Amino acid sequence: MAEQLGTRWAETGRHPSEDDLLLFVDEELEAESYASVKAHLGACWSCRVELGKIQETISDFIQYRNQVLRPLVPPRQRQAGFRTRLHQLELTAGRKSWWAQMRDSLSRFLPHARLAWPRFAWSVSSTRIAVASLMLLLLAVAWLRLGRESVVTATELLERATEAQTQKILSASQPVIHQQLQIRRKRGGLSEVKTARIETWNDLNNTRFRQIAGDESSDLIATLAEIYRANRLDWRRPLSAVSFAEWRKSLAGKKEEVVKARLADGPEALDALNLSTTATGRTGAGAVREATLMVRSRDWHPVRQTLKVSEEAGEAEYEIIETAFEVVSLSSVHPAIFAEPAVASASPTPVAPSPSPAVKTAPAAAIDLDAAEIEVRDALHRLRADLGEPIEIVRQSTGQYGEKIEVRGLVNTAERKAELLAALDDIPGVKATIRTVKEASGNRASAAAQPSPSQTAAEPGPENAGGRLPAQELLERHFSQRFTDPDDLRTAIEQFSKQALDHSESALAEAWALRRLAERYTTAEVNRLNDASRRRLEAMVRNHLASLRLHITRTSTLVKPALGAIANESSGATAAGSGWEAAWPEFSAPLLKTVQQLDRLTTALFTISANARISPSGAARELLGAFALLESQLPDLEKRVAGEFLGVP
Amino acid sequence: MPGDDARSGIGNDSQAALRLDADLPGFIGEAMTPEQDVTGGFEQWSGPIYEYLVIVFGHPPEAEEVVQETFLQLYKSLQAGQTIHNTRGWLFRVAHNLAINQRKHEKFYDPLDDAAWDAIARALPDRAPDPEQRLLRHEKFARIHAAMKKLSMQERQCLQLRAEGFRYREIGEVLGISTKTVYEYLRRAVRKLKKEQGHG
Repeated sequence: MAEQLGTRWAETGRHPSEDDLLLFVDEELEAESYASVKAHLGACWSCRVELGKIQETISDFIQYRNQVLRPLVPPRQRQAGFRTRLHQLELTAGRKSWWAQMRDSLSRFLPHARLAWPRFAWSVSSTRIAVASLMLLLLAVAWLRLGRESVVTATELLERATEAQTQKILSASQPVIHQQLQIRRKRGGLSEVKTARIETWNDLNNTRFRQIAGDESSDLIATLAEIYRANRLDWRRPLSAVSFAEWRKSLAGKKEEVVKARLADGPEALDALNLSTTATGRTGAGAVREATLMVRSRDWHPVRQTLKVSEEAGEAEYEIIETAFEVVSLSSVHPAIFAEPAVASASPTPVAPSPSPAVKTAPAAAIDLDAAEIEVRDALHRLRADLGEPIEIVRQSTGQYGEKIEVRGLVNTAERKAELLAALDDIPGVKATIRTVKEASGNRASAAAQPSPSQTAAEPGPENAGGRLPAQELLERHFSQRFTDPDDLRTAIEQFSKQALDHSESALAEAWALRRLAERYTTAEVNRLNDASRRRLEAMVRNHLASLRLHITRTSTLVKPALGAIANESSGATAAGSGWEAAWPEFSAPLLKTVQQLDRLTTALFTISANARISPSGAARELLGAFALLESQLPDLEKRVAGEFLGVP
Repeated sequence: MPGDDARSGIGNDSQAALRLDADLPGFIGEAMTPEQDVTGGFEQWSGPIYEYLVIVFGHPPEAEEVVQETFLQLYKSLQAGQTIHNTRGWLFRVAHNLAINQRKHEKFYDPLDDAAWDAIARALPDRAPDPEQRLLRHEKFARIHAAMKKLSMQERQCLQLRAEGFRYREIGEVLGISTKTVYEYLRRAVRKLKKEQGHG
């Protein structure tokens, strides 16, 4: 140990001090002192008694920690989200350096080297041996790496490919996916082979799609587009992992495997993974019996798909290979591309520009703007800016190609403003207008800006000079056992009231946040979201529910004992009423109503109001009923949203 | 035995090439990617770190966020080629620092607040066989709770980390203080607990 702790008591010839005994118990004494104390303890009864007291104190604390503190820690709610975040990080981390990859390979090959390397002592002879060994190892590792790639599950492959595609789309404002594809159909072995080339443009914000192909292949493409449609695949997003996952979900039974593959379509062959899904059971004509999706290992980008389709007279196999892919901004796309109504076949080259106001004013479905909005909500959620702070999210028409998102807010401090702006900064298509109260006041010289009713101070607090709370008698009875001094008693009641109101108010803020999400994201709206956005929405809903339950528990554990005898009366959950059994988002309405009632009753009982003429015992009973209802319903609601409640696998 | 702890510190060594040391069972002897390392570490240590954060700082949702952020930091560090000795200590240190940072932004609330204690203590599941033992147990815990209230934040942190199995030097590295200061905090904490329990 670098530092000498405790007394060198052995040199003094006295009994070890209490502090030395603690160091002894914790084995933190120097070896020599440790041995001396040990020898002394063998001989000295009184020091052994002292030692016992220290150990008993530690033992009591450990019992308190294990039996009181740890059980009070609520279970975690969001463990599942960590893996997704880690995947996202891995995707954005990019390729590792050559050295890092080699190092990883070495550590796989020689795992114990992880320990040995950092402190390896080099000498001339050991250097020679090590260099020779290293060379051999490098050769072996290089050979091993050629054939080594971790094989993932089908679900993981599709998840990663979806994330990768989402990231690419989010990288552009007003994204348009441009793809070039090569299509081949085989029937009856090789007896009939037909090929086509097609170029597609998909304007995600405005749901416009354009495909350009030669006339000679229109039949093949029209047939394939129909197969996609009939099998829940999205023809506008050929090779999309989301689309593949949709088809896969529609199968009653399936057999799947993911195997390593090589892409030999360039000077440098690339590693790839190939997912093969085969429908088990009978498939009718026009149904996809087997499909494969090949993704590049490097970036999880899908590059090839095959479909085996049952036909009345046998089977056809389609192969779709991507030869080019890019996500570009709408502003960089030639206007002529979307100037014409989309057609199944057209001239191989875009036609001359022909201004079409009708297209420009087409209603915007803004698929990707939906994702950006969820990202905005998530960012605000992380900063707890969705709990009543005056911040609004507005979808605005840009007048040209659809919409943009504007976040408007009024905050108290410049730090809060900077924090919010930083969080919203890199979300595409989002404009943030956040002002501080000071700035707003400056802009409006006469009208004093108010953050919001909930933000203004001057709410009637529980503290009061001389007044009595409606629940004063109950609280005095509760606290008088512990506080005999009138000042202490008053302080205890004031603190109690403040905490009860704080917890109740926090619960209400969470319930409102849930309700706002429910109103914004109806079932129809949720269906418009992509998988990643749904997951984010789910995570937000779960977080709010978990926080709500925590605040309710805190309010309840604080308030119930104080209500004394009333709490002991049987007051089970009142009739659940309508709506509790409903799924998300419907259950948010009765939930909010009950939390509002709870907050109203808490405020009525524990604050002074001149016009409040309530019956404390009646209000207390109602409050206990609200607790009972929430405590019985909330765990069930949490369970209901704990799985795939928005339909994402 | 005392004084035989030869491990190096929690700190990073960016020159050394390999990654995690043997602190995490299962981390050694298998061929794993950084992602698998981190996932394994998450399964093993996220629970104790979460508990520590909630007990010391409160606010479970924020604690959960801090735990996840800690393991993402671990991934980034491994990706960057850093060596991490004493992984558990490293994780606690990063989580602790992130939580401190959150506290500056007032995202963490008070830990298990005192006024709620009485109610909580009454709601405790009781395993003691007879009423007298139950009463003694409640009284004991109430005394410890009262003593805990008298401890400073640092004393509580040291106590929790010691209960987690960290040595004094490791606690110092997690909290960014000297071993001697850790000793001082623990000494005071144990004295206060001992006195309140009537052992002093």
